Amino acid sequence: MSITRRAIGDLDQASVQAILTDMQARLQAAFPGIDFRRGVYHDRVLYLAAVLAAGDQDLIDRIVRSQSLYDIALDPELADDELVDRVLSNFRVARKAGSAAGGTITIVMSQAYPTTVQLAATFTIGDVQVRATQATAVRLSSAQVTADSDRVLVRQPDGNYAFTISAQAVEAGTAGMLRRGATAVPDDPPPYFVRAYVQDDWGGGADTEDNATLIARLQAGIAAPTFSNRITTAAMIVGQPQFADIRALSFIGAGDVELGRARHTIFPIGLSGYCDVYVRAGALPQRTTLTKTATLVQKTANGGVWQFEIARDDAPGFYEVLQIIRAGGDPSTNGYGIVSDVRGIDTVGVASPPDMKYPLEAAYSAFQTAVIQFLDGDTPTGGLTVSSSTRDYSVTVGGQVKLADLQAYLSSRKVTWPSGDVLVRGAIPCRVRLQFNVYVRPGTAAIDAGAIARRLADTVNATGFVGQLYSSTLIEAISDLIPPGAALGPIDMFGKIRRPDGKALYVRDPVLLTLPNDPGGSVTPRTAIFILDEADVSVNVTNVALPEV
Amino acid sequence: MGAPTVYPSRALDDPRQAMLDLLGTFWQRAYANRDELEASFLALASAWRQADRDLDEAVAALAFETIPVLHVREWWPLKIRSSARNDVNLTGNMFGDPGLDFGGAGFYGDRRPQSSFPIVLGEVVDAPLICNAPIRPTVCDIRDVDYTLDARRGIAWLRYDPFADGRWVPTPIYDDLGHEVDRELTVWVWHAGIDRRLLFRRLGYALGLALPSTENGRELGNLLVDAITQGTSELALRRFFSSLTNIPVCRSDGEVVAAIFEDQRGLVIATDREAYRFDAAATPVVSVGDRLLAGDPMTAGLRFDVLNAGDPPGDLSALAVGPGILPVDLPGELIFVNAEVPIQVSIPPR
Repeated sequence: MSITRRAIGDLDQASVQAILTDMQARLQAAFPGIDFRRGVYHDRVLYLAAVLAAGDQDLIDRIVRSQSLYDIALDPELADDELVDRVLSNFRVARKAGSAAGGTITIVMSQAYPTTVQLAATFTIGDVQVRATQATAVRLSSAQVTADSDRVLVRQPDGNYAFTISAQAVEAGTAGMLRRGATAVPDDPPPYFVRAYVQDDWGGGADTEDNATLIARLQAGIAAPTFSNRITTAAMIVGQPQFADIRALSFIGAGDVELGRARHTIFPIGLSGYCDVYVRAGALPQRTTLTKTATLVQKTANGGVWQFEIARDDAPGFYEVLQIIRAGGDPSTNGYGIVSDVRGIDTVGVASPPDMKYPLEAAYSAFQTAVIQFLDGDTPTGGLTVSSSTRDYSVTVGGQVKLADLQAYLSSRKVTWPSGDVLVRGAIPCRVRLQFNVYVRPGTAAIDAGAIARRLADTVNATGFVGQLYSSTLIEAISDLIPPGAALGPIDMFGKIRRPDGKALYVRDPVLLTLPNDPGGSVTPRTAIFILDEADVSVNVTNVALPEV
Repeated sequence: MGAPTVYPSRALDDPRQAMLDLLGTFWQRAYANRDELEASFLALASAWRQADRDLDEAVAALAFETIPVLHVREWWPLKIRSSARNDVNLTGNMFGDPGLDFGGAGFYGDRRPQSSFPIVLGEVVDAPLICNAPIRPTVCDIRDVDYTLDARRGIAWLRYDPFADGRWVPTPIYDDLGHEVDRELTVWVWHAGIDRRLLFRRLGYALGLALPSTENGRELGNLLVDAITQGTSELALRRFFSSLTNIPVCRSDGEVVAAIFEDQRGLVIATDREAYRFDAAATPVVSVGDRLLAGDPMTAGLRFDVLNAGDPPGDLSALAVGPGILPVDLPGELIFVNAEVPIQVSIPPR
């Protein structure tokens, strides 16, 4: 679309009148004895000249506004893709198209039976339609496997059999970022079908960028992609295709109180040349399931205490262990309780690793390791031997992704600055829970609690390192989802922060949730982020009776 | 420094002959009421002149360096009333007015003693001239001579009462019963500056900065663009502090100081390429004939010392190392005096 001259009838009459008045005043000054407010000269000359001049000014004004994404965002009349793209090109930015999320689905059968899941076989997961991305032949043993896409049925602890398929959301967008354990309903179930569920959190789903998102990217667009200041370094990172969808970055450098790594010398002054990069890679931390072999380390009256190690490359920079179940167990069951979580550092084989002295400094980084002990009350320990007996467990951890890749990129000799020491860490998580009432009168349209929860999660997870979360921001975000006749109660905002040393900090407020300033514990507004899973939003719809009058 | 104002600067400033030339011989030679024709041209040209100016602004807005700070209207009419001189909303004390100590003589809202007449500027933030007509004005008051701008109140304080000056022709205002209740007149602001926040709308929003619509705001915005497109150089930092303090530094390499003098607005240091304006109390640190580099300060108000090579400036008494550099649990600052001191080493007993 190009900007065209507006039809005369559509011009702002106030503008026309202002110009007309100006011209009348000038003529009146020259000829005080003539009335220029009416008559042929007014109608045929002055008025038409004012209309044409107003048309010129309107055209010029819209051309000026079309050069600003800020103005375009405010004016639906200018919200044209071509105009937006022209502005974006000045900032070396292009609108990103949406992409469909993908991942794996586990299908459980009651009998070991060879079957086939067709390409594009469809499933419904919540409100999301997904389809298989390849035809999968289900085999009874590995000897029968003839293609990469073949899957072998695996016997489960409960006696059922399971296999996995790859699938992708039909529609592009973040709505397809399905969470681990979500129930999948096949349109055409295989024989002996018991259930299906999402194996691990899905990834890769993105919405087509809106103007607000694009505005946030303009600065990085024109920045020189190089290690210089924080803006240029961020531009360098998100300019790499593999890091383009990173949501937020925070750089802690010289003079920043959070940078404990810089104070390792005998002299108690922070040295320059150090940089911690805190990352919010996606909307939510990604959950990943590992199969770990645990060793029995203690027998107790309540069961055995088992121990396993999470190596640095198993789940780089993970926050915490979310669930431990028997290998192949049902993920919807409660897991075993963690007894101990001890983090460590592993830099073996890493050329020029960052300077890290204490495990706290490596926590949530790609150099983090962990030794986990947990209590398994289901497995009899009578015939087992401490320090010798082992069992396989499915261990689900949650954390930011791409930390190892980003660490490798920033530490590579071609990229890093010669005197620099860079450590990439996952942003310190503050998991938010929201609870509030929606009061409705008789006759009010139905409240879509799911849509409200999704909108709130999108709003919170769009934030970067902001340090504060206002309830007014949340209310504004969902205002169009609250129908006339309904009213919001106060929002109980609760946040749980997991410090890198494992200690939990809590914040709670109905108006403003503020992250604590705890640089010794690596928790400050520059290192921590708010995270909201829509499952952690509790919307209570309450009917209110109106008095009869 | 702005370019000098020249009249006429373009054909539309006095379009009479140029437009007659376009109309042909009948209108030039045969048409009897030539003065009416010329007056019409003057009136019509006012709209065209504004469109021409708007187009210039649109072109200037394409480049960050030349984004117009203010939108300029050729002429802007303002209605004022005689009663304004007694309106405490205009003339009353405001928070921040000088001499308004808590418990002192003045109270907020009380009418301030003043001899000037208030002209409410509305959208206008800059007003170089105020006239009594857009054509052939008999009054042409000059900013800082005949009136001063009060940006906090959005008022131009005229040094006389126009309703008591015969050059102005007020119009009476009557109530429903036909009684005169007030008088009104129109003042015309020439080249009225209107803040449309173009600097923010074109540049500030992309940088996440609510840039003020000032020359320094534009300079700051462009500095930030330079810093993120080219890296943060020492020159960029010098220009940054210059913009923050409103103390100019030399704009380009090789400028030669040509003159140093004072006028009624302050100190002026002119080079062979630029003229820089400073506060009247500023002390020059350059002399006529000096060749400057970009970023060089010219007055004592700004000085840049590069702390390297173990050679601190002699008048730097100490360096304070504060939070962020020190350990988290160490309160206060660590002071390093600029002097040789004996080293004291204490070894804690085992």
